[in-house]
Amino acid sequence: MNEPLMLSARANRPFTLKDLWRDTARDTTTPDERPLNRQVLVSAGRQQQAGKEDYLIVLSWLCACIPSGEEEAGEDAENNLRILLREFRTIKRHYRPSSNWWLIEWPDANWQSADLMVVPARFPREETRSVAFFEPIIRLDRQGRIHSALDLLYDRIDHYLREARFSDVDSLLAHTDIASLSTSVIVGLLTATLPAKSKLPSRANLFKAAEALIRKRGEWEDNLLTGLEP
Amino acid sequence: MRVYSPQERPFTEIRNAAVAIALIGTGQQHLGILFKTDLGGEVKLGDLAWHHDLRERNPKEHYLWIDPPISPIRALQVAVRCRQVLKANQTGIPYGFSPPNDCFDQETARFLLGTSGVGLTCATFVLAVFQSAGVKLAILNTWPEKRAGDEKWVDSICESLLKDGVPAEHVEALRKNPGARYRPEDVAGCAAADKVPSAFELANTLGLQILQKLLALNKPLESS
Repeated sequence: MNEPLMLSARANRPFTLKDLWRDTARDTTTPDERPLNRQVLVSAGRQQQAGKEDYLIVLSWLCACIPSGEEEAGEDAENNLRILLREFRTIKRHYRPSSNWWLIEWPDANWQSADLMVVPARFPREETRSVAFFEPIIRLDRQGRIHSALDLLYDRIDHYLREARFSDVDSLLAHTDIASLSTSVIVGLLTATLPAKSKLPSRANLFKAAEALIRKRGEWEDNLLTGLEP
Repeated sequence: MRVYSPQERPFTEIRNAAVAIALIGTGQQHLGILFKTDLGGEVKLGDLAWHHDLRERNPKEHYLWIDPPISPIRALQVAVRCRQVLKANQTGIPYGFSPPNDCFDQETARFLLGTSGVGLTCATFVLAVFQSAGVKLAILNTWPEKRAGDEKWVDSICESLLKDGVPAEHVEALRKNPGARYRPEDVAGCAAADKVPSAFELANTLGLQILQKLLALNKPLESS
């Protein structure tokens, strides 16, 4: 397995091959919209993902609990997503630490969607977690859908704060490459984390870096960050 | 002042979020937050209309809107927080006179019913949402504890709440400690100032000017 692979699971529809992204930072297009199940996945693996056996093991396991195209998610959609994440966590526990890859997840608030990633061990863990976190946010922003991008950002941060996973959020703040984010998203990150600032020691450095970067970009305005200080 | 009727400048010209004020009857104003969405630049009004009656709706033409003195990027965050608060409080927020600071749960955006948290008015709802996005519109401790007309207003609100079947314990809690009253026009005045947060004196002066503009339009809504 060479690149991180992402399954973007949505609770309100069956999963398709289009939900799989190869190298999420660069290529987000996969033409195949066949419903994703074990058979389709293995077939796709043979044809397009040769040599990615590890990845197939993980996703085949997951696909055993994913509804196929014939089984519409319907009212059980939320439950399906919970099952998927439970299995994902089982795999994480079962394979660690001997595997040569690791798994990360970013479920959204309200159990409507989740991004699951299979990442080769050679990839830096925290930085890749950050990429997985921001990938759909950056995508929405680049599509000109900044309101949707920020809704997702706030939902994700709130989900982790609600679960009291302050160290996860702090690690995210410490390892985010803010240069890859628009100024609106950077200010959004500072705003979304404002209520928990006393529990997020890395936020102070992020604030300083954000101010320096925004000034460098020539986008600084008076009072732009007033009220968001550490 | 950056105060506009939709005839002067349509709602779609707001810079992501704005404060909106309307007359809803003699001597009674109503306040809400206008915010943009991704849906073709659509503008919605988020407001606390009454006890457990939190709404997201299309703004009516009777509203004036005030462009707050903040960056569009910060106004964007206010819009997101407003949507979050609306989403997290689908059963509404109680009507009451709690101070508008720290009234949303830090992690869930849900309204907090703490020891002093009884409920919000339409005006303190606006202050609270802005504050949850890190934008303080008002210097709260500069507001007078009591002004002429406040007592009568509290009585009329309490009577209306009782008439609408709100539990007597809730109404009694309101009567006991009404606190300072942040009137809709005061908060609109804060948003019309050249910088925020605004102290009472300036906010009140600007608020009265906004009120005059509203009265000149003379188009009270049938209901809030």
